[in-house]
Amino acid sequence: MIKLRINGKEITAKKGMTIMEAANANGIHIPHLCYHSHLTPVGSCRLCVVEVKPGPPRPQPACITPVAENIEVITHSERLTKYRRQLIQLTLINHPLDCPICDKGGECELQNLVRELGVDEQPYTAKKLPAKVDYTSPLIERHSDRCVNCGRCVVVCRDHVGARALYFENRGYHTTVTAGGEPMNCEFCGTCVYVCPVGAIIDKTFKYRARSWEMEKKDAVCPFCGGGCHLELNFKADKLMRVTSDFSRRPNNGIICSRGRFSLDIVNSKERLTSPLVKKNGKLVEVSWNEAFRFVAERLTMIIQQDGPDAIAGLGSPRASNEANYIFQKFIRLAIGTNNIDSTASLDYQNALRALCNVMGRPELKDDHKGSGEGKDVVPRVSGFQLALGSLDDLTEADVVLVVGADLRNEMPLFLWKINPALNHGSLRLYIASFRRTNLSYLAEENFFCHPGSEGHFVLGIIKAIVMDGENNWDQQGNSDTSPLSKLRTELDSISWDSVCRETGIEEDSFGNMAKVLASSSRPCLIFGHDLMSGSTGYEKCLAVADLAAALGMKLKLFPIAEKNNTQGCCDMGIWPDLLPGYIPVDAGGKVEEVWKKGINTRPGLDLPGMIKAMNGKTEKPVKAMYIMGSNPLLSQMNRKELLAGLTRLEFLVCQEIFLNETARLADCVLPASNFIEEEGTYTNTELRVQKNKGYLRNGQVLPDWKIIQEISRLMDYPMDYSGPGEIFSEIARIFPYYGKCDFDQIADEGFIWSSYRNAGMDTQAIENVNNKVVLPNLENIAHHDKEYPCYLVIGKSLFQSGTITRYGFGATLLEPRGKVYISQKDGEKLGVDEGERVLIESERGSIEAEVGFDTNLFEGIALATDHFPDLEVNRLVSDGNNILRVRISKLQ
Amino acid sequence: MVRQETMYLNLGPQHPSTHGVLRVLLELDGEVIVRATPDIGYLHRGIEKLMEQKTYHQCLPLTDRIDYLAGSANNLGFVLAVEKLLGIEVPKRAQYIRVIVAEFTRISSHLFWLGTHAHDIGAMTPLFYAFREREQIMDLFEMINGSRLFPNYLRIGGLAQDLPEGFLYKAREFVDSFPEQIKDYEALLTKNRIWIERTKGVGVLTPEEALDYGVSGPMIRGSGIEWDIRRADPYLCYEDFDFEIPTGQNGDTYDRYLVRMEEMRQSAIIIKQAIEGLPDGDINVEDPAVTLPPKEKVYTNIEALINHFLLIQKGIVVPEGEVYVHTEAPKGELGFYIVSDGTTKPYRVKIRTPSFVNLQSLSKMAEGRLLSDLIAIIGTIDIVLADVDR
Repeated sequence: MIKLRINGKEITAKKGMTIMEAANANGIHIPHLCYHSHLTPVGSCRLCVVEVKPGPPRPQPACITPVAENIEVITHSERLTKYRRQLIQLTLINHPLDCPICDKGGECELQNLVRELGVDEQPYTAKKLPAKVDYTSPLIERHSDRCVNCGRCVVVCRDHVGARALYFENRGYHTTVTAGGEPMNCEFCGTCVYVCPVGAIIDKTFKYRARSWEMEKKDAVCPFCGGGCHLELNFKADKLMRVTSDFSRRPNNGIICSRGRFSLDIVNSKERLTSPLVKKNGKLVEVSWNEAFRFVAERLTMIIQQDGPDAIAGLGSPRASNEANYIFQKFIRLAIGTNNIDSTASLDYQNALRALCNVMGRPELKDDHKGSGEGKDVVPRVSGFQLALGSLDDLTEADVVLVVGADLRNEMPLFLWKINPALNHGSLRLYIASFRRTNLSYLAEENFFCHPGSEGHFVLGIIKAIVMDGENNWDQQGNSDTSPLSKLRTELDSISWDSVCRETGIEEDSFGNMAKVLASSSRPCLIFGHDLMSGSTGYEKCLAVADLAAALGMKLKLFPIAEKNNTQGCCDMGIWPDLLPGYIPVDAGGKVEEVWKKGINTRPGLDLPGMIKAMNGKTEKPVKAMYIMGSNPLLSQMNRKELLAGLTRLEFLVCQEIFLNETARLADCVLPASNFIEEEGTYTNTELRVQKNKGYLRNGQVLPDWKIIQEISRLMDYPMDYSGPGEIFSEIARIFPYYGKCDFDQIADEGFIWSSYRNAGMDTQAIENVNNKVVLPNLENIAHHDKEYPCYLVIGKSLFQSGTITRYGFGATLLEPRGKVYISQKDGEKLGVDEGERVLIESERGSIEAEVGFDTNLFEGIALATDHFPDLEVNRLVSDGNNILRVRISKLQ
Repeated sequence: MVRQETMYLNLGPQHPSTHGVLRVLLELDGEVIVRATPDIGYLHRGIEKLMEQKTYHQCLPLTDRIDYLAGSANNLGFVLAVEKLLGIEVPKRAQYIRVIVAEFTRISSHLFWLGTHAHDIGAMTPLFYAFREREQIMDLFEMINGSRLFPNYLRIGGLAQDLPEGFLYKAREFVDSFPEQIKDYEALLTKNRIWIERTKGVGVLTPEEALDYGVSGPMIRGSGIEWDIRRADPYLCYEDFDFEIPTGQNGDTYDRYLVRMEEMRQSAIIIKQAIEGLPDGDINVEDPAVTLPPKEKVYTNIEALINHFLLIQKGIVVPEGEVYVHTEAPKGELGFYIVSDGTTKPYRVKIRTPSFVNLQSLSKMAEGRLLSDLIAIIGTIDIVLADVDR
């Protein structure tokens, strides 16, 4: 610690801190314009000049001058005020008289400085610069004349967001921020708008709609991807005006992506379902809640009586809250009496969790200190896969990050924002294994371009290299011949390097190098995404990842990418055909039965593919009815034809939804549920952070998910009597004690990470050795050549879309109004198609027509599509829920 | 059977002589008042609470409506309190103009009292004379800021604008002729037999009682105590002016009448001195965080625009602290207690209004008097119910 004095006050600061940081930490205010507490300081505005003694006779900028032992700092003096006034006057020399029409008016840092420093005249004159205004960029508008050249937007875009869309051009008086003189074509995260101290960059969707002092800011957790970013919803009389985020709040520290920023107007969408609908004469008509409840309960009861409970299946929601999912599975398991419950998360994320579960065991907590009665001395012993999952802090502090099978920017920008500062600083080495280039590729230490679908083989190759390399202290890790890891070693011997190299298309040396990097690094992280987790081979690929973590002795932190806001929570809550809440197998649910006071069906139920087969009557016991909560499986990765046939064949389909989507249109009854800001509830993000959303609005007659199910359950003679989500949450905590770290009412603003028993000041001894049962993945060989279907089509995710709900949002619709199939330009030339033209795509299962776009990141022979759009039904081509398909593309005449 | 018990009677809230919506619950023994309990609150508008939602400048129009017969006097109390919190003093010229406005307000308020009080007791003519002169003052107010009853001319840090051309001439004309007019009023009342009968010995408040009740203004001076905040704790620049503080001897309605008549003369004297000594110079403090920049600069100069924008949209930032400032309003001590939490809106405002405190002595003065005296007693307190209820 360093001791120094600021304005005569003795303070201490950490080495390496700047004077500004030390002053802020001690509540001393230093005027500043370009400095921002969460950005790398640039020191361009010089307003933060302070007198430092001993030191040079001229004032020093506080934001870039580090603290030193025994220095004396004066922050306010006559000389400093004079300088600051002059600096502000010079800044204002070309400033337009826009305050009354400028969005920033009232929250403008320049205005505040003018007042703080008492500036009231302009002694200087200068040549007036013409105002260059960018009105053409979508969503964002830039006014060069209002700009104060602080550089915050440049810094945040380069070092934090990583889009590098804005930079300075020209020098001196003519310096301006530019996007290359063209309309912006960036990620449209809008962070530049909210770091801008003035109104030089503004949000078009917000322009002229409200003034800063008219709005009330309300906290929320983002409802789109699994990052669980903190949002501030700015309401003016119950109408959402704009979305901001607090730079001091976890997990995202002020940066949000275009989905959260510009597509959240779905909360005020006119297309919102507001009253229950029942199909009468083939048409959905509005009915009262009572009629809808009775209708659903009667039909479900009838089907149970006729065909037994297993004729009904339930689909939970990776969008709905933990409480809703918990009640939903309880309803399916107890009121209906079947384990036929799954969600669309089973297509990707559940593969990862199942593999981790099978290798590292399910989360368990022994000597639960709440129950032992001996107070805080009893340290719970924890075990389970959650110990292998990293938090965002691990990512920030990582020294090596390996990304396998993910386009990080599109799937989880939050991870990208966390590693970007370290990447730019050079303290982090990034490795990427993917079949395509991504925006990150040029920042990576090494890119491994593997064949589509061979991500599992790639990971296996690394394990093999680690196990085979004597230098990696493999033998010193206490692995006796009988340990599971040795077994892995024996089995890996049987896999030849030839086959690994052939499958992946990567040379043997690369695996050795990667293995050395991982083995020698101290804080490695592995991020794996949709490309790896998804599809019928996803589970096997995830096993390889779990094995790698085990082989590295658990220092490797894993980051599976959750696609939706509560994908993780939905899995935690037991939306599995074979696992109860807390990952307890259905045949070992004694503890759960105790809490539920009712026996559970111990036979695992049908998973989503199984349900589709059963709906189509391809199994002995067909599924006759389905209850779908907050999910749109018709646009998922399951084959559309089969799913559509199955859903139409159903005797009864209930959808509990917020919008009337494709699946809900087929339903016999549609129940309008409240969305994420209308009802309280907790959501678990991809770093296992449980965060609470508060209920703010109420639209039409919508009811919370849990309440709807509770009412139906009551009519089906299984009364549930919860007063609210708080009571449900405490029941969850009884079954899954990790959620019991906090009472519902006491969940802090930032939530809590449920796996953080390991962080609670507990020494590592208390963590039970993870009993890795290393399961060797059974990876299929990939047919790399197929004459009939020469091309790969990979179904990925878009940066601007999330599932199928962003299409009701303004930003997403504007930026990406319809789905396209992206191919490399070379492929385009070969096919003779140009951008915007239409092609026919055929697979074994079907064919679709699609518009073509060129993507320079793609290699020849690989096409990329997304599954967000109703007009791009890629899942007509899919078999077995696979995301990597073999197709033939031809130009449409 | 003859029952002997006191009778309860409501006076008001709708009654022509209660000067607003005052309800007095009377306990009568025949025609003699045993107890007179004022029941207030009919005109409560929650001004103090409303102020918590408003910037300091937005509070100003509310203060006009506290004692609506002396709008500028309320403005003055409020701006002085805020200025004390801000630690600023307005320029001398602004202080003199404020004195002129405050004393005109006093005369206007007293004229209204005179006309209505005399009318209540049965003298109709004074009302016509008093209102004739009050009308001239209203015209003067109209000159300075366009509005008659609520000029809202004062600003935190100074004044809305400088005096208009011709104002001083007209003001001078008024104060020169005013003492003659007062003679007319006195000719009608001071030695009038009926007036004396109805006011002498009616509603007596001894000096001790006056102190105990905490009454102020003409009420306490009528009881012979020389207490005037302009002298006791001078504000603005009252120490620059020579004036006398009239006091009574018996503390009855008649003495308070005499005190108020003399006060009007003294106010005219103060105005005359202020007009003669009116200095040149600015009328607003030189602080961009308090004073609005000139409008023409707002359209041409970004610094002025920003300061204007912030003053209008956010308001004046008043440093954290609390303050009590009292002034000698026409009806007595008007005090503003303001707590600031360092923002642009007051955290708490408490207004000590003279009418509220003075009204407490009603029962004391009325006990043992005839019912018909009550009207004279209500009139002599010079209450405005808006001032009581706020």
